[in-house]
Amino acid sequence: MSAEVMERGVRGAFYTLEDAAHAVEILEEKGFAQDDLTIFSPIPTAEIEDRLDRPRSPVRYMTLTGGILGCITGFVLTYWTFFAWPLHVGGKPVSSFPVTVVIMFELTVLLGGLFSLAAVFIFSRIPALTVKPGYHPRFSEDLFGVFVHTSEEEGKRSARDILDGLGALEVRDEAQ
Amino acid sequence: MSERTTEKSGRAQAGVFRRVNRDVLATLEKPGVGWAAMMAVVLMVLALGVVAEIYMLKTGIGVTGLEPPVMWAVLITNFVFWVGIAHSGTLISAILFLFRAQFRTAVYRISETMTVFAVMTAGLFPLIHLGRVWYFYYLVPYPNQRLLWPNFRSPLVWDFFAISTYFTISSVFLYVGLIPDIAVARDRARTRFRRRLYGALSLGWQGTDTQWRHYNRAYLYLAGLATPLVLSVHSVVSWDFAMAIVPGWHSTIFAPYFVAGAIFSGVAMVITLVLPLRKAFRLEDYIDEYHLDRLAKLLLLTSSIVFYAYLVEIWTAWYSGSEFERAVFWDRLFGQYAWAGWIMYSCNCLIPLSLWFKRVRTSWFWMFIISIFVNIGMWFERFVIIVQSLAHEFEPYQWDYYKPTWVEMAITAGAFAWFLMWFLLFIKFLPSMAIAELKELLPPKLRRQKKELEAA
Repeated sequence: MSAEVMERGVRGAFYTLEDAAHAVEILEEKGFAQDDLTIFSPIPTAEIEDRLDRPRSPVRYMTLTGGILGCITGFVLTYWTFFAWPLHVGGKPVSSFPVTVVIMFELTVLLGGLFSLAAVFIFSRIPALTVKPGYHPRFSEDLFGVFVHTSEEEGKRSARDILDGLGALEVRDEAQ
Repeated sequence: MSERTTEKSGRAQAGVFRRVNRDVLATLEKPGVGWAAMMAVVLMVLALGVVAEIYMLKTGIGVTGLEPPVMWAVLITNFVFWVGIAHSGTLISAILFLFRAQFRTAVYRISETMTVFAVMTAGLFPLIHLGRVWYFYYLVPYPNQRLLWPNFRSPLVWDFFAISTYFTISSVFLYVGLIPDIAVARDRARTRFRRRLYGALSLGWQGTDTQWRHYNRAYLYLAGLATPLVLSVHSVVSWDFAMAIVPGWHSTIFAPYFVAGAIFSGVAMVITLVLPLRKAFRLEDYIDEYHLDRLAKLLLLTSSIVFYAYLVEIWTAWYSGSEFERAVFWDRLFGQYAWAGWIMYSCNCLIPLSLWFKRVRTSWFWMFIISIFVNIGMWFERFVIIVQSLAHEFEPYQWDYYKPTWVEMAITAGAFAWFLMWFLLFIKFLPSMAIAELKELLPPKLRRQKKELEAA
């Protein structure tokens, strides 16, 4: 890979999520764009979301779409079947709504769940074939990482100074 | 807080996090002799079940003990039993997640895997029971040349939808929960094979804030969707019976009664599996008396609901004034199947009463023994509901006594082996505890250790 297309930046590691989130706040105050900052965390804490003032996850819309689609599919499938292959028993109507409810419910859950899974894949950008810059195996173990995407020398210097000043355990340039 | 204290606390936290990784990933080390010996026994029993199934396929379903009026027996008992076992997995992982019950963190991965493997086991039985397995696709609604469509009025078709949805959603829930933990295993893998396996399964997960943000949301919605699903699946299974007019089956309390029974048996199975696992992998600091006590209370609660349902059933039969209903329950208590009935009542109602005592609830030995009794009792509950009710239908000249043959026994044993085989494979290849969540909500003993490290 040529040096021009390499993504570069500065990485700092912290012991706690609070420190990492604090570093991101300071970096944002100093003019770094939100999209250029990444936190790596070994735990699924909701604090990241609360502290960082990121937009709400759009997963909800995918789940809702899947659920509605499933519900409609369940209705159409059963009613279409009732009339495509009518079973006349004892003069009763060929269609039965309570029966439909079971199938509609199951398909709502099924498609809602599958759409949620798809949403995680799409929005989290997984499966990913390449490792994002700034990642370190210890970020899945015991440390929290902050990565500042910047290729300019001035930006890097400024990020290094801020991270150093905040007591990051290790600050280094990263390239991929 | 001074900077020094913050750093000390940070170091202590990092130390405990490293320990969680080390301890949980130790379960993935090369299997020992004990594991290999268990696997060998499990495979032998499974082979016996497979031989019995092949014999049945070649000879015909007549090799089972099925004959009118008992045309559903041990094979369907196994189906309902295993669907029931599958229930507590999603209860612990989804419902307790929504209730923010912290004790679930240590045991939910094991119960989720149990769910998936139990559904895989349950799913075999309708197929085995068909006799002509190759016709099972008749259940699937798809455009076909015969212009046939499933009869959506049949509870068996509802069951097909319910069980396949449950299997899919449980697997998705298990896998989504596993992704960050597989990434941990990937980062620590020592062999090339493991690095590649975990690398592919973790899908390139790196735990960035964006990934966690979407992940947490999706996990919440999956839990929200799985919660009513848990309640619906065993309700639908209960309607396989309740929609029929057979005395002993035709009852409106069947849905809640089956759901409570399913959770009861599932929690018992979680205890049966967790206790040896804890001992074998030295996970005493992760699963302690606190977790055992909580699981025991869940067992006691569901046992009480089941006990109540048994009493209501008997009372309703008497109050209905129907001779047939009364006859079935009289037979269940004092007739030819009284032995099975009393196994069910003792194991599910009387033995769990000992859980009112804290000493029993926090005793590893007694909890293991009680959980085994509950497993036996719940298997017999299904047997009694299915076989005894059918054997004692309306006309006395039809009454019969069903005896299972060796084929059904071998298939039943094979099913337990099939379930255990998957479970043994799982604990050696994937993290059997939720590493990321354990770090977030440290179990009590690790929390104490963190405090000690901070003070040091």
